[in-house]
Amino acid sequence: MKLLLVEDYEPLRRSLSLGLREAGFTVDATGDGKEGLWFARDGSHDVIVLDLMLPGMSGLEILTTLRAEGVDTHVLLLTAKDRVEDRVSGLDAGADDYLVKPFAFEELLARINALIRRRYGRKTPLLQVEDLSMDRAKRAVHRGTREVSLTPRQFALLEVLVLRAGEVVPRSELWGQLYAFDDEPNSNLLEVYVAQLRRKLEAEGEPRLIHTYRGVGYCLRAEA
Amino acid sequence: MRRSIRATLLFATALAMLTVLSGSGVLLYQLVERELLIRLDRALLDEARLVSALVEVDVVRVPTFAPREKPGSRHDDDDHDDDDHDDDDHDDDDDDDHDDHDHDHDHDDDDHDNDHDDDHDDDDHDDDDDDDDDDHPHRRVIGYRLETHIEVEFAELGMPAFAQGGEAFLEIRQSQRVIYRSPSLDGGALPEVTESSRPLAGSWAVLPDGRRVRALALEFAPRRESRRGPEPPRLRLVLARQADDVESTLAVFSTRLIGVGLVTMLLAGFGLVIAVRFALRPLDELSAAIAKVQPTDLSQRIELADAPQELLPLVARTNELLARLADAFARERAFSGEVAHELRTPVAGLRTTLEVLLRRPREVDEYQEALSDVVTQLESMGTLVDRLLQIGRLEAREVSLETRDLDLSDTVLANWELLEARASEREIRVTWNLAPSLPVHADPNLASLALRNLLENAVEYCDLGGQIWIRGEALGDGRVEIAIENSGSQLDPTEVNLARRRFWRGENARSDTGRHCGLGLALVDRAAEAIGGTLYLQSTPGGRFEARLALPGAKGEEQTAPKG
Repeated sequence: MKLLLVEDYEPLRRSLSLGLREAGFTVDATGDGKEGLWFARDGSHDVIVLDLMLPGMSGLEILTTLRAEGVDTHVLLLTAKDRVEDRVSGLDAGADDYLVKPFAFEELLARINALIRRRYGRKTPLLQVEDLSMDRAKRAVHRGTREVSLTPRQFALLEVLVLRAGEVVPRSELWGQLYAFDDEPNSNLLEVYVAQLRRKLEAEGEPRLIHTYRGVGYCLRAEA
Repeated sequence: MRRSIRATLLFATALAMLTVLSGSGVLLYQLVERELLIRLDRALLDEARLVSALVEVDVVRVPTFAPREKPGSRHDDDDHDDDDHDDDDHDDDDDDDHDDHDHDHDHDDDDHDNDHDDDHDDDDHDDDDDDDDDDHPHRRVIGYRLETHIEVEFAELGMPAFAQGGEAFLEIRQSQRVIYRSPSLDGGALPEVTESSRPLAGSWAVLPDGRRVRALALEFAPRRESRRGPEPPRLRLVLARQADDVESTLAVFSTRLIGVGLVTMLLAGFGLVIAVRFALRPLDELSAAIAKVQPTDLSQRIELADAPQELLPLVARTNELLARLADAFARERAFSGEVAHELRTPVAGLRTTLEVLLRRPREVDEYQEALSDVVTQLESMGTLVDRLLQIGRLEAREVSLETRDLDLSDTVLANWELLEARASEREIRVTWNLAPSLPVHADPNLASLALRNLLENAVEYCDLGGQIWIRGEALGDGRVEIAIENSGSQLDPTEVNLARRRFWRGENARSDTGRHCGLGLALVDRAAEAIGGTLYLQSTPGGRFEARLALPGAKGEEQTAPKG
């Protein structure tokens, strides 16, 4: 899962980036409003965590611009203003959620996850495809009753495939999920990750779930 | 007791109404009374004229005898001829000659003019008196005197009003002598009638028995019985009548007048109360409208549908006040919003830093790094809180100043020493052009605060490896100015003066140091103002930002102003 964090207070941005990355998200972070808008426009993020008071361009302006341009990425506003009018104006501008500083990091995580579930049309954090079950809240994956342990990036990759099970997810999109903007993706790294995932998921000879569509992408489904 | 418009209006209007009503009542009463009395008097006058026409006077020449005989033998035939009305005078005279003489003398005196005229004629012919003379042949006639015989015949004419018990009274006098009194007077006298301002007008009088009458006096020349003889004396007639009907009419009229007046007052007062209440109702509406204004929504304005003209200024002023309040509230709200943001953000930073740190076991150096990060954040929060408090105190004028002469060069250098390390860390070159001594008259703490913030600002916003220029000189106008300029400014020239505002942060102001919360220049501005100085901000196209602080020069104790 890929997040965009736009927060101008540097210590907070740094801690949030660290915490979110450790929680398995891929994070693009910036302290500048205009830069934030530029990141957000590509639409590859699952959730945008947006501060309201920013140099360059205010969070509200970014939000309004995004919505006007048809970008419907879920937006969670972070702000120090807690008056009802502030919340209403933020939600009216197209925000999906609102968190007043200072907040508990756990609550931010929970809200981000809730927005991701909404994005993929699911109400519970539990995903199930065939005998593969995935608890996104606990970040636990089971094949049948066997627990499969994954690295955060492996988990993120599998999450995208599970959320869009049955669909062929293009390679470029999987890349976008895997890498933050400033990472330098190795061209065959995706294949390496997919191979690791397959190995862990089929460790006890279970049927294949991740299928390759050469030149297009990958699809998670039961074996044909 | 509080002043009340309602009471004032009611009282004033009631008073005016009372005045008008009672005035017009009195006027009306007087007009009616006058009219009634004029009619009454006219009737009295008519009657008096009628009565006067009935009075007949006969002037008789009476011989006067020489006083040889005994006075007792004298007998006057005149007395028998006279009417009853004259009896009271003449009958008494019969018994007493002295009295008779007195009476005669009086009589003579009274009619002095007539007597003299008559005396000349005495000796000659006067037929009427011959008989009298013949009755006393032995007495010598020494002269004649004139006697007035008055006959009032109306008793026969049937004017029962004058009879005993009647309500009309008549008295006829010749000079002071009462000639006739009507039986209705029952022997009492009519009081003297005072002359009225109007001719032949009546006046009120009170009879001895207490009855009030309308009386009218009329002087007249009575008819003579014969054409011959001397002119009869002028008589004065006083006619009085009880005027019960007029008085009762007036009494009824005045009662009704007062009654109608009271009812009118009552009705008008009732109407007045309603009218005043109605007229003052917009005041209640206004107060209700003001009461509806919620402190949470000062954008409301008071609108009174068809408010009376007198209330329009009040409504307008109230709305102006609301507008000013709303303005002040909006500024206050913006300020608290800014404060909230400025304080909550670093708190969020601290919390997140620590929470993320605690989410999993970490290496010692990770802890150390995070903790030093926390310390830095706390330092910047401390600065922020300090500045906020200082600005708050300066704006509330709560800072006690100890203004004295001091050397500003000293202050600049002392503050610079604290920043030197940071400046060299950022590889900033500094060009000095500072007078060795810059005496100013200021509060040392605030001057130092202002300069420290200006210098910090220059160091923080200067580009890496950039340059700072620090100048200090005495201005021509007695002030001393410190100018601090730094390169690498990314401030838009149009935004320069916005930098004085609390929490304003330049668009390109770096926030990654965590030490700038947009309060520095605002603080310098307030501090400079408090010590009578001025802060000038200027952005030059070469990417330079210049702040100049001008302070009042020393009051001139021992220090002398050096050349700039």
